[in-house]
Amino acid sequence: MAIRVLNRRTFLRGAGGIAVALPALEIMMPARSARAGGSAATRYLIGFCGASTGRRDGNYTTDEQPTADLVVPDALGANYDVKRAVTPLSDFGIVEDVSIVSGLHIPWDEGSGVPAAGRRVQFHESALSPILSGMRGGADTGDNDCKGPTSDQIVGDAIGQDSAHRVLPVCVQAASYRGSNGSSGGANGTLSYREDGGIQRVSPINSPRQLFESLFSGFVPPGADPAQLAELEYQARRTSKVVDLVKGDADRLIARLGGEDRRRMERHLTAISEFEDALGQEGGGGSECVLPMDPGDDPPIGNSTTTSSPDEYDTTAAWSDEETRALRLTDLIHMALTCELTRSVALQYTYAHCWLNMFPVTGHTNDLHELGHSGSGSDASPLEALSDGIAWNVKHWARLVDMLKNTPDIDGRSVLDNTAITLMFEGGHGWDPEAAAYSVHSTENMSALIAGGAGGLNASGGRHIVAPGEHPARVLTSAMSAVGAGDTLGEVSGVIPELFA
Amino acid sequence: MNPRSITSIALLSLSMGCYQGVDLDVAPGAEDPDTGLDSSGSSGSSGGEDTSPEPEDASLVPFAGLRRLTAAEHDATLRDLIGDELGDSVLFLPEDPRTPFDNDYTTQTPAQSLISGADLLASDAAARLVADAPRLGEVVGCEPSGPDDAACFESFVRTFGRRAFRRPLSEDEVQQYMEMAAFAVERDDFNEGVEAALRAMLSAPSFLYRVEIGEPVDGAAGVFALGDYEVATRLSYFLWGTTPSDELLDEADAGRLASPDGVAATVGWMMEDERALDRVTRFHALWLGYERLPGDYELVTAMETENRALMERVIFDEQGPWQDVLRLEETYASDALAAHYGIPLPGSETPQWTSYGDTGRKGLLSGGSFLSIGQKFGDTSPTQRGLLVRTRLFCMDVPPPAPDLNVDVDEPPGDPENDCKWERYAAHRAEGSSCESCHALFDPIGFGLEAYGPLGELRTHEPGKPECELHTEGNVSEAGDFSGPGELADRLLESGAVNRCVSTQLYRFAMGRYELDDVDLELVDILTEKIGDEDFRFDTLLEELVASDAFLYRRTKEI
Repeated sequence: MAIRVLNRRTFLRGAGGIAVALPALEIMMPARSARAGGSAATRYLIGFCGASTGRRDGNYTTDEQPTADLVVPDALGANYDVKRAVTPLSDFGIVEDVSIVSGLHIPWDEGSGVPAAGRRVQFHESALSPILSGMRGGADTGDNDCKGPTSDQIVGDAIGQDSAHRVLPVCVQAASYRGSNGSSGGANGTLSYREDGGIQRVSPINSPRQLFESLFSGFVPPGADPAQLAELEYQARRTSKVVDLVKGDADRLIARLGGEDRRRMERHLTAISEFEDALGQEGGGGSECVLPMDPGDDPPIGNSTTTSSPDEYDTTAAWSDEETRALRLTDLIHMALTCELTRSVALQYTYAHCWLNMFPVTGHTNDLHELGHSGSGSDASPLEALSDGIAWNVKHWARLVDMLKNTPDIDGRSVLDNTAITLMFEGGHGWDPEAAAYSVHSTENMSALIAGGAGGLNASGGRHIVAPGEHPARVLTSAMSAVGAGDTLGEVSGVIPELFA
Repeated sequence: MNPRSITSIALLSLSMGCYQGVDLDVAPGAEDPDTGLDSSGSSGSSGGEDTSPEPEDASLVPFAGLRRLTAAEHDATLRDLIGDELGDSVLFLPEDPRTPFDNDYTTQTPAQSLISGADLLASDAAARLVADAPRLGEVVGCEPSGPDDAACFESFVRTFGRRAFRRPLSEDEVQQYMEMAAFAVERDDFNEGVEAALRAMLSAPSFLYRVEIGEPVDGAAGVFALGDYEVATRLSYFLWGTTPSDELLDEADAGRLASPDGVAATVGWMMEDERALDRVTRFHALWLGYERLPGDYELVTAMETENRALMERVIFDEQGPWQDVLRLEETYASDALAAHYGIPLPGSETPQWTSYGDTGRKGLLSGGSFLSIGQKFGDTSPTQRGLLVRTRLFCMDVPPPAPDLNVDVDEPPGDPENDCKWERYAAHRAEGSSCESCHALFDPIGFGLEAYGPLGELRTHEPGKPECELHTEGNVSEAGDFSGPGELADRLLESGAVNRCVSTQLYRFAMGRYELDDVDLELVDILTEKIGDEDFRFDTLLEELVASDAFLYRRTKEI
């Protein structure tokens, strides 16, 4: 059922504590259903899984076995064979919509400094900057932040300025789960960085409830009666007044603060303005734009863990019901894209160097990171267990792709047809310069998934494309180019032509 | 808890004026006709001297930046402001990285997610309060005669605003929040206006951030003396982890925080509050890395109770040397926890003080909390435990490993199928190996704790390997041999390094940042000199810190 959206800019005319004199129906705005010429908006989404895709598939004491993955098909081109880690592509029937790009590679420091779009030798989180921003990463362990704006921000600047949410950073994993030893909640839980007097982290929303409120608090439920409309109008007007006071407070502080403090408060005010802009804009997307179900209260945040042995692993910790969170967040993001409330999403399924408990969703008694190392505590081989953990990320990404595929857009195509949506992985497998051996800690043999038909992307449908030595960020520049945001990301530029062939 | 008193306070000499805090509407040098405060917030009503505040040495005033409330502080603040016990800030605020403390403001970056999360927390808290008549009555503080009772609404705005913003509101601010009363009239419900005003205040930057502006110090560019309300806020979040109480704000209002003597006297009664014990307990947990204990709920709860009891006894009740935290020969355990540790049972299902006996245990390092940290490969890691002792208790800056060294390995060293752990780690200790320089610092410490399992349980051999007997012999290279965590504590205390490390960690916790510059390090040196290199009282360390220029002044960082 089509719905309409309260336009709070109209309410702003009545802000100041005085009731708006307009009848309820006069302050309703129709959905933005008529883009010029009937054209639909392009959308962009980068998904991220915080794991490497492959490892040695044997007992960890046997060094001789080579690394492998269960992502990359044996066959090239269309109708590729579906390996264990990407089984959800066939489960959702979207193999023909998703291209797998394999053979990707991030260079590393070989003694003369971190190369362009490269990483340091120590693996964990070193690949974040080159993947997400196309910029070479920090040289020291602990310096894991992106060194340039990330693709979602560049896309948001290019095509999302008129959207309610210029960029929408979201994270499924609710916490880092290893907080007490100085390694949590930093770069590994951040997917989005923006340029603002330096490169700044942009914290994601982890809460389904918060995302719902951020996106849909102004939407009118189907069948709303005049009393409900009046109540919504009142609540929106009250919220508007609250925001006015909050902004006024920030303004007063900015006038008094100096130096870094002033800069910080200016950033806070910018964030308030973004929040206000989101409140004040109506959605679009035609008849498929409907108010999604209120997700209700969030699952509680789970405890942390320390042990890494399958035998000792606490299967109840490091888990905040991310399965439910992923379902709810996916539903909301689907509708945010459908309604054009945002055109650029950064969706982190799992933290880099991920300590999310995989037992509830795979039956393997370990976290995702340790499935790449210690093993699974199940009958699955180590590689199979790791692949199952990856498949959980793929499942939720594939579900979103499927939902977008089955959602008509205003131009008669599907929303997926007007979208470029990727799933990136933290690592690949192969040569590990840190260990001087083949291991899971490698940025060789990396892969990425890309779907959607924006800008001629995947013109021949989903295919397996081998791009030997290509940088994984070129998958992102291809997606950026497809939505009209240029083809440059940091030190990486150009597209993978096969994706448009 | 027993009543506590603070005695024998050694104070730094300091000249402070009577600046009180932030007044946002008053031009510099002007007087606010409504409040009587000048632009610096000075009222002239305090007993402070009428001179420009001046630090002892302006070159030793450290940087201090705008600090946002952490999730834990946000929860505690809502609890103490409006009696809201839900404590769900962690759901909606950005995760606070542990560095190891959770309050490092240099990691805080505003984003839209923060704004929407703060608004959600504020609107939820306001709605819960309005639905709870007794709590609401306390917060509003007056009985409205009707929805348009402007006097009661103004009283609420002034009273609650002062508590929420930790300073009096300016007249301009009062008038702006008074506009929310229109919602009360519109809905014919006084509480509608209250709820709207609450939401606005609890979302405001003046609530979310600990705003410090201060009074410029003559002749010291970029250096500011904190006002009384700003000092009250620093004290409250440092010592209690929460917002200042009305009593503390009254101290600020009366100008009693304008001098080190006044601050010291205030610290005295603040330390008698239960929240000070919670804060000291949390400081140690964050510092030593056991804030989030893994394992069975009952066991974890027992360990948390044990830790809190240790802090209460040593630091608050006995007011003995802090070193007793590391060397007390008793612990607070029930039969269940004592059996877990393998120490004499107290004969009680509830925790009692009981002797560690001759199990090689003493103090905090012997408990399951500390021993739970530093695990790898499903067992204790001598390297990780040793590294933690080096970095957290010796405050050693361990440089990152050389690029050609692989330190993040897939598997335990050596041959785990056939060799015992001592043999398997031998390669790390081999003289001349690239690993030796660091592992020689870490592993001998960790191996002295190997007879104590991942949750502190006593064990005689490696899990599943009866042939691999575990021993308690360890070594701290600069302090000597030890046997078990009790003697490790002795060696640490004898090393002379721990006092400076405690000062360093507490300074980081107080200033809200991990990275220290030369000024910070000199201030830590001064702080360490104050407590000396022998036994010291933790409350004395706290008092020295809060009465120092580092705490009472700030330097702005230009961009």
